[in-house]
Amino acid sequence: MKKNILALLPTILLVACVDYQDVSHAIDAQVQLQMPAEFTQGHDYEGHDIVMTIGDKTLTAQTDANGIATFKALIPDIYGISTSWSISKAQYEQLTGHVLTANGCTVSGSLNEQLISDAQQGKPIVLPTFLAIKRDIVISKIASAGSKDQNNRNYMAGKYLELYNQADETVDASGLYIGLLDSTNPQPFTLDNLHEVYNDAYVVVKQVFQIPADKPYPVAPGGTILITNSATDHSDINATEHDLSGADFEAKDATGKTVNNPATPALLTAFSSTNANATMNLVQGGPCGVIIFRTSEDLTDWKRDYAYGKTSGMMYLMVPRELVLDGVDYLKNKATGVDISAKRLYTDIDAGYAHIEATNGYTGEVVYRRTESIATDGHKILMDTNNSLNDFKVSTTIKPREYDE
Amino acid sequence: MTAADIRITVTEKKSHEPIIMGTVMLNPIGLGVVTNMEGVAVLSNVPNGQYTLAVSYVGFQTRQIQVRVDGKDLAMKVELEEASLTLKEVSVTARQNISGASTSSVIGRQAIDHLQATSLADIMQLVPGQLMGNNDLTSASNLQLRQLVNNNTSAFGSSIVIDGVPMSNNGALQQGSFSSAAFTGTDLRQVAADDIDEVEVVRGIPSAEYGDLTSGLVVVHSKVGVTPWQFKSKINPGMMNYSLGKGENIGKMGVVNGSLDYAQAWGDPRMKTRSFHRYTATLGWGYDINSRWHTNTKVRYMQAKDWTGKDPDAIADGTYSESKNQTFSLTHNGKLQLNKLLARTVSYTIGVSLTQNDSRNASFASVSSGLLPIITATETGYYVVPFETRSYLATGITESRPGNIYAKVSDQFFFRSGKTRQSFKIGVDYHYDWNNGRGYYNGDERYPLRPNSDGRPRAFSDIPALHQLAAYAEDMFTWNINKVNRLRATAGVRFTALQPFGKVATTALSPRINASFTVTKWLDLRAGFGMNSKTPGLSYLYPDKKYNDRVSANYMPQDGSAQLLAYHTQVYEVAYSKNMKNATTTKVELGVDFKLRGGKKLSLLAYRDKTPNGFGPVTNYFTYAVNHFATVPPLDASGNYDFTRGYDRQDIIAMTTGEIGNTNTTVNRGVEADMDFGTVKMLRTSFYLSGAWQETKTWSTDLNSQSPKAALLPTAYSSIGTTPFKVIYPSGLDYSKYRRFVTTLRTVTHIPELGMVASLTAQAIWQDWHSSYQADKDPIGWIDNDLQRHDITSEMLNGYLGMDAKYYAAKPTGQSSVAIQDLLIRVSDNEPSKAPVTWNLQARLTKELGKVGGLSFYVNNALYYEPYMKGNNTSTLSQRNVGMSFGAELYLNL
Repeated sequence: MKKNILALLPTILLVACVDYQDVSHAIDAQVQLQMPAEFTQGHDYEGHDIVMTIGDKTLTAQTDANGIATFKALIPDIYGISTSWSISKAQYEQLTGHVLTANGCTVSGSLNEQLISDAQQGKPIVLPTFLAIKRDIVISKIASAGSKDQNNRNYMAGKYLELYNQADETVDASGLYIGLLDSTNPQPFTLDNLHEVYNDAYVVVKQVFQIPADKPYPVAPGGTILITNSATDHSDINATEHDLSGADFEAKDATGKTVNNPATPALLTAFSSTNANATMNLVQGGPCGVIIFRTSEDLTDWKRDYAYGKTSGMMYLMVPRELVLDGVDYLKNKATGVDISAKRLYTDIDAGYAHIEATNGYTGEVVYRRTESIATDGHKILMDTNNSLNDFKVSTTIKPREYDE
Repeated sequence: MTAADIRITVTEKKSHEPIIMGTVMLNPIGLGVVTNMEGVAVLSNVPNGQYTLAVSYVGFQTRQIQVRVDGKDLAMKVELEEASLTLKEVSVTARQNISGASTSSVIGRQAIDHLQATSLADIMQLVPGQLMGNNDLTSASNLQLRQLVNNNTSAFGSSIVIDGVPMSNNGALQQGSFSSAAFTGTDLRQVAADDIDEVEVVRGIPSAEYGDLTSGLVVVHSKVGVTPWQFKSKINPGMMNYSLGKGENIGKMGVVNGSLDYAQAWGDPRMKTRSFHRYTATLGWGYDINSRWHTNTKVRYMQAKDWTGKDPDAIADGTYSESKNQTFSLTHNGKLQLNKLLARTVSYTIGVSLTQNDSRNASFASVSSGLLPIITATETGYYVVPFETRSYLATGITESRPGNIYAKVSDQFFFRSGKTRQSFKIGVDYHYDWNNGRGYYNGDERYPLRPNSDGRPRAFSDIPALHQLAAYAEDMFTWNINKVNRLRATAGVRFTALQPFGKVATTALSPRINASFTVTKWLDLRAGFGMNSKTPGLSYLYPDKKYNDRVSANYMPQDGSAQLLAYHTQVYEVAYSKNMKNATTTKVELGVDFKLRGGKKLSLLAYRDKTPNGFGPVTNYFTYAVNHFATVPPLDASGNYDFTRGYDRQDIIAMTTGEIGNTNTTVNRGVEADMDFGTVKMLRTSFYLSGAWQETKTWSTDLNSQSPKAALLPTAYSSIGTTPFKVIYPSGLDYSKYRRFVTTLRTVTHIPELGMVASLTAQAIWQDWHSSYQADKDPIGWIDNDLQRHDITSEMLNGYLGMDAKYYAAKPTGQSSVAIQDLLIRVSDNEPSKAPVTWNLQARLTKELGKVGGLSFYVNNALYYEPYMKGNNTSTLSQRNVGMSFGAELYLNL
């Protein structure tokens, strides 16, 4: 401390001696980046732009290998300092040692109203940074179990899917594709088969639907997209069925065997592996995996294939893996437990799987995402660790568009 | 003198009482007479020669006596002994028929008793190649001989003849579209075993006397004559069966014979969800009108009831299914000894049978997808239909009333010329089949059981009756070339005309020959060729209308405003099956019979049965348009919906007409072996080994066409289930093939001193093989929605078919297309499935309790061997020889 005081002394003396008009002389300032707390496995110091703003003036300097950016000849004043850069999924995993489900992250930090003066000369200003996961629309609920009606007969019209906007901003869902994974037993392609034949390039689907792309379909942060085959009130069937008349989209039946609500917009059918099946074939006992993806390509040009090793039988659509935005592997629960060998999704899409407790369904069970936290704007952030065993739970009482507090 | 009379007096050995209505048969010419009230039968004008006289009577041991006729009249006394296990000879297995005649197994009363059979179905397990199993009366059982897979033609084409009258199945009718899986044929459970005296199961080429069949003939002779009161009871955990029978001499009025039989079964005693009840009553009357005219009349009543429902412990929800079958039948057989040159014996048979077959099925019509249209239209058009959104309990009823009249006249005469003897049979028969049942209907037509295409009511009484006329001639020929070599042959021809002069008239000519040649004393060679034909029954000739319903408007606003569900119904009425032919089976057999020392015998027989024209669906397309409305159709001038204009979409639908034709081909081939090792006297045990290697191959020759896979079509087609064209592939290349190799070893230990027979049967299934072969196929053409057929040549295989159903050498722009390469059928998994070897052991014991009666006991799967096994291309373990069954039978002679 003594040394410090001694060091300050000449400065005080100098200040005391100099004329005040000398205050505006230029100084050099250094900004030291501080890595986000999650970066336990490494750091990412070099090459990021640090921006200083004052009024409408912007100054930029790049960080060196130590994370220090140097601004030369600054007029001492009050500046705003900020930085922001993106890291990929791979980088995230490398730096944190964790798996990321989202497509990437943003690292950002900012200091508002930072005084830069001679006092900082030679002393770097520390700029803390934080990680922000790029949240988007996720599959948040699969209600495919069906139930039994008053006569103890199967009732399957009240099945639905729900998507949820995790983002902090409104997202346009128009044009989003919803793919239903194959549900054949044995499965047409095991993950080993896909690795062998396609080098893990595809996900196998039996049906694809699309949210119409003719106009924007904005979904607010925390907003849901409820999709069903029959947007009507099913709640009088039994306690596990709900009023779905407010659904956002309805897969319109072409066979006259389902009540469709003319007021509900139609979900488009983009691909079907079976004939006369315009409605979503959500299998009550599972498997009933779902993916969402976006593409500007025409699906009719995409690859179709028979089951592994076969040259006849059912043909499936092969969805390029890298296009998949979110996926939930939903497996059948058997008397002997869930058959993990029937997993259809790669671990980077879903490391685990969801399932209901019943082996054959008709129980009204719904799998849905747990709530992880509440965002600053108040919307719920649902658990998305890329592992449905961890992210999903089962309920017979959860209502459409409802999540745990 | 070249001929003489033989006078035979038949008496009972112990009491010396005459045996009335005993059968005396002179073989090989097949001249048969019946003894009169004095026990006397006369065979007149028998040509000189060597004969075998067979004298038989119900409950008595049959006697075979060698007779030589040399111009002098003979008088013979024959004593018959009551059949008993205390006699030296017993017969508890099937006997193979003599060579020169049809390949068949004869199963006598002792064998049926030892088997503790409750119905004809149980008796079949004595036939070579048939599998042993647990008795189960709770499911219908039909006859499939030399056939490894249930085939509707073969089951329908099996004939059960009881006392000369075939049990007709021609009047059976179905509601709904043709199903090759539906039960066809005669339910063998209907025939109670206790009233049977003898059964002959003809696997080979039957006599020309028998017609209206493809393969498989069972000739049942029921008990006729004087028998003591006999009460039988059979009990096992899944079944009980009681019967009471008696035959009585009523002096000048002849002989009467009656029986009552009751059987009840419930399959698994722990799960009373199924049951079967059967009541049978028979009354027979044998009467001699005069010394040359013997008649036999029998009336039968049978009621059978199948029930399936909820376990009594479960919550009753009103669902069940029940099938009730009542049959009244009358058979009358007469035999006149005319003794004319061309009319030695004239026999006639009259049969009438009336059946009432009601089935009721109550179950819930489920509405799982949320909307159930109630479509009841029976004419083509657009209909606003009522609908349900909740499941409901419904009842569907089928009332079938098939009836049948049968008449047959047969003339028998014989000649002798040099070393040959010829016995002729000529005759005509006539079948008349009808069904005047109410058919299928719903308990409440507003709430139909199957409110869809296949649930429309159908009245069976609207369907025309069936006439069938047949004539036959047969020559049974014996040529004793020298003392060793002998040629025996039965050659015949049968001509059948169905619905003569009608729209569906069809005829068939069926030549048949069975021949055997004795090469040496120990070797017979045999060969046979024969054609059998089965006329299509009512259900094949007059298929139900075909209905196709498609939604036209499904407008269901949820805001309380008016809802509309409209359907278009397309009806195709085939009316009758044009160009339908008889199903014809051509049978070829080759065999050798060895007679070895010590009574050992070995028969080997190879056969091939081909039915190239079995009944199956015929694919013929027609197309029609359905207008689809996103909301509601416009109204016409009178305020009704006008479905013809203002539509949002028009779908072109290709539909099959539902015709039935001769599109199924079945080839059965195999080798049957029957070995009699004779008796090891020290052990008092006889050994029999029978076995069969069988193969069944079946395929369809129907047009092979299909829609392109949904995955290849734009969703505008796939999601509504339409197709721009149908692709045609070569037909008849795919097949199902089954192979089975079964051996059955029977040991029969007979101790006459104890009146006891014990038998052990070991059956091994060495091979159980199945292949569903699908060939690689290139498309050979396509059918567009104007029903125009276009060919695809090999040069076109790299081209495209557009959604306009036109061919493009290069991928067309501006419209979707399907690459013809994607339509190639390439099959990668034709791996046949093979099951591991399994075996089964059965033990049976019968002990006579003096004159009082007897006791039998059996155990099936005696070692309780029920392994879990898996085949070569499945990982699923499945259980074989499921369960063990045991039972006992007690019979009392009162």
